[in-house]
Amino acid sequence: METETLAVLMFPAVIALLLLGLQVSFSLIAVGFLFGWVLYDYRVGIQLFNIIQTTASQFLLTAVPPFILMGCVLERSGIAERLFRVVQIWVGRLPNGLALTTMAMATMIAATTGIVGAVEVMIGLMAIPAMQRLGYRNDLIAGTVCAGGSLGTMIPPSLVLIVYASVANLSVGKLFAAAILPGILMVGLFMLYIIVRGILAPPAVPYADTEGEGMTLGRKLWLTLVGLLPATALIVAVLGTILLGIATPTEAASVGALGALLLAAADRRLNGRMLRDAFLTTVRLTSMILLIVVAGSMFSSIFRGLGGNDVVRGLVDAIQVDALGLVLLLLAIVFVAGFILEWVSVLLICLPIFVPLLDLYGVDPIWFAMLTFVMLQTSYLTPPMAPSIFYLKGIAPPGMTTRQMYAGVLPFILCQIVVLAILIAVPSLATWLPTVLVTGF
Amino acid sequence: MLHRLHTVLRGVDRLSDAMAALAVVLLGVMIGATLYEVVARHFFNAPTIWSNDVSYMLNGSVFMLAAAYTLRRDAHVRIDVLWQMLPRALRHGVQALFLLAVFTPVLGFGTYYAVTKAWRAWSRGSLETASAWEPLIWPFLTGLAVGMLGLLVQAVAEGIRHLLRLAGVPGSDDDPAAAS
Amino acid sequence: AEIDLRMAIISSENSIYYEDMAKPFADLVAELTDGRVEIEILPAGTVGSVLKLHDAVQDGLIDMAQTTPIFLGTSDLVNAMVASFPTGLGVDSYLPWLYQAGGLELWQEHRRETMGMHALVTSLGPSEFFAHANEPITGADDLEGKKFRTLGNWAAIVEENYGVSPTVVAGSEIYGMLEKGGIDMAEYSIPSENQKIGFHEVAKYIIYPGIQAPAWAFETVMLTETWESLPEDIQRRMELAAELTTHRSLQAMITRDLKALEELQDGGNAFVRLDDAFIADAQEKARAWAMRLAEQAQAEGDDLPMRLAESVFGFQDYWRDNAKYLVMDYRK
Ligand code: NA
Ligand code: NA
Repeated sequence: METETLAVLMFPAVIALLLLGLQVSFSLIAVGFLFGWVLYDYRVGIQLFNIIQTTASQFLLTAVPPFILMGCVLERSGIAERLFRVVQIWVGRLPNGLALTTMAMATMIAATTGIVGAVEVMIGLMAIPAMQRLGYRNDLIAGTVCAGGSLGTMIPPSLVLIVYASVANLSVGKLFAAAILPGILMVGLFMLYIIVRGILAPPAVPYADTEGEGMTLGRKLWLTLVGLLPATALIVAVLGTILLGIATPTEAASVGALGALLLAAADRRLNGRMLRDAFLTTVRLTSMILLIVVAGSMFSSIFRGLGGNDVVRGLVDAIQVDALGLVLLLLAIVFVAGFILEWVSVLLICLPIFVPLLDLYGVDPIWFAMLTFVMLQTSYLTPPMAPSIFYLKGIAPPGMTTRQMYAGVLPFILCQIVVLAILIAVPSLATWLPTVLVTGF
Repeated sequence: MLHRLHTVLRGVDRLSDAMAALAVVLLGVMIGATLYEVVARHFFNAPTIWSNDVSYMLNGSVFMLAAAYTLRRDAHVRIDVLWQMLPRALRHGVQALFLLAVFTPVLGFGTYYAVTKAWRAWSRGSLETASAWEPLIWPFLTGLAVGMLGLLVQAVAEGIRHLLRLAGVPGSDDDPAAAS
Repeated sequence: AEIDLRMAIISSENSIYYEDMAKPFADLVAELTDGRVEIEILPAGTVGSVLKLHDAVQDGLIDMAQTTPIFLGTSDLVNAMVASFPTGLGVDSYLPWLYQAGGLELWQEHRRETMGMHALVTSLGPSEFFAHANEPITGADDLEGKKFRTLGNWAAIVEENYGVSPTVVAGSEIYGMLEKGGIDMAEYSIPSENQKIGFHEVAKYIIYPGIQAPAWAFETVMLTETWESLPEDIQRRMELAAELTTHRSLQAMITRDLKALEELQDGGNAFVRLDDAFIADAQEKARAWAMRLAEQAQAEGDDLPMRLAESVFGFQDYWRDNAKYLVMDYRK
């Protein structure tokens, strides 16, 4: 059998294992290993260990546990809850006000980190209990947290764009600038959907505890100051250290973790038991997330070793199209690859094949980067391999089912497709800001 | 006999708990090292050469050392949409078969090389060369190897637990997430 | 093909490491052996870490790897010196040292004796930029107290002698740190590579010449057994392909870099040249650093580092003393 055929067969194999309810990371590792035997025989064990060591050696991934710890501490210290209560005073009568708040917070946190998963887990830890208490439906909660988490890569800084820039030989600064308007557009559409849904289908227990009822404005303002200040200060501190060049985005995660611990201490909520719980939850979630990264890399490395690239190249070569047709075809490939492969591999496989074609057809590389980028956001939410769902499951309360999660993310995926369509229609949304912001000297 | 088996299984759990506790300590050190670098660089113009290396080595050790504990808590996620519709016996059968006959041997190969490489690095005093600091690499490799060994042992234990549940043995709890 | 070899490289398919180094070598080998040898190139992401390809060859995971000895670290002076050495051989003197003055033999001897591998030198890269900086830098006084993103033996040399604070920053975070002033200056790669990433967009000053990497060579390594299992005529043809690719890669990359220089000089960046006095002083310091390591190794019974250091420094002095009649075709 041609090895390219084997490469393609890896997909159904892993989907079968996933549907049987086996651990996502274990399934990917097992399929990668067994197919890898064809390439490396027993030495595929070395390959597995190499991938583990490589992932474990990624400096940028050191941002993952501090961010999760930040979320765990804010949740357990009650700071998160107070924050959401205060917000409820003001937005309590807005349709789905709390979901909007969650989305706004996700946007702010996304501006401090570029790591997939970190934003989602952090925001989820803080917001899910509050939304459940107010009777929000599980699918809306799930969709909001997953889509909010996906902003972690959509809003700069973004690890996806850093990798994209290096593989496609583009300026990181220009890509970051290009992502700002599409990012805002996406947040806007997410919020629009949440509002419209709030009007059409209000929460099951409509606004049960309207905190603000009959409260004087002075008291409201005081509560807001006390409730909103700590969490806001924390986000400002993390963002500030990055913008002032004091810390890299990776290091800023640790600044945030320290900040959360200090806030909890100032609140006298820090004790041995809480600390132990928060740290144990953090290492558990970190282990789950990073093992999925390992597994995705293992699977992809074997897929590529078997000639997966040639499969993609063959597909592209086989079809005769014009420039727009080419763009749509390439995006379709990214979309399909994103169903299973993790995004780094999608970029490593696709870009070397795509970039020369873009030159040939005269497609603007920054515009195409943004289209690919949005398409990758979508792959983060689309089943069966939906990292966002996996991370959510790591923190979801018992009552929330996978089905509700899938249903919940669907409307947000549609929002992303709309953003994509708008970007295709109006390329300057992506290409204008880089010319204004990145001017050089 | 069965009693002894349960004792062994609980022993494995305790081992995983201990590794998770170690991971917690290492995580604390990692955050501390990062903060030290930020302060030393920005306020004292004295960046360290070791902070980046220490951070990633600790981060890598943390996630691997906690992997067994995470498995015990059934926190390595799975897609349960179809799975929940399967009969109970089939669920446990599939899990046991996969863990014992597929995943354990696969991880076993990787673990064998992890242990070999850690051992070789220790006996030769190998350095981490792809770094500015070039420290000894065996502590990091040992962290990974121990974590993988722990995950391997816990995977066997969980496989056996699924077998016990399949056989309907009393005392084989059905909800690992509730076990502590 | 009669002989199929899998060769891992350190980057993806649309990088200079593929286009100027790996692909031309593989193509030339196929051509010169009339298709009897086929080299399959495995780009980044196929075999674990790109920083550890020597290991992957020794583990038998792949047949060959095209990579840099820099990834083997600086504790063995030979690895720290053969590919590139701060203030060492330049784009003009490196090739004659390698092919006419015994450089290649020393390199291959080291690989064979210490790693059980055969090395073909398969590319040479041209000078890098000294740094992209937020302030003009001309010499030692300007370097004092600067947070300088640099690596390896050069980091040790500038810290020890010029009061620099070498700062470790992940490659992908250099742009942001330079932009926000978290570091004062950064060195990365050759002009065309730096230009792609866009460091010139965030730091006004471009400091040259890149004395920390005047020229840099890449090797293609395989196990000694693999090499010896090849028929002698195949070996000769592969050596020829290696040498030809080394020459061609240098020219290809310089050509790219000249284009980058033209564009950068048309822009608003300020080009700042290092003082000759500083360059001379840095060379003294760099050589002292190397000799210290060589003497250490010699005391421990390993004379190869000393032989290499003497070979490089001796040839460099010889070249400088006598090459003044040559026409170097640029304006000072
Ligand atoms: Na972000
Ligand atoms: Na997906």
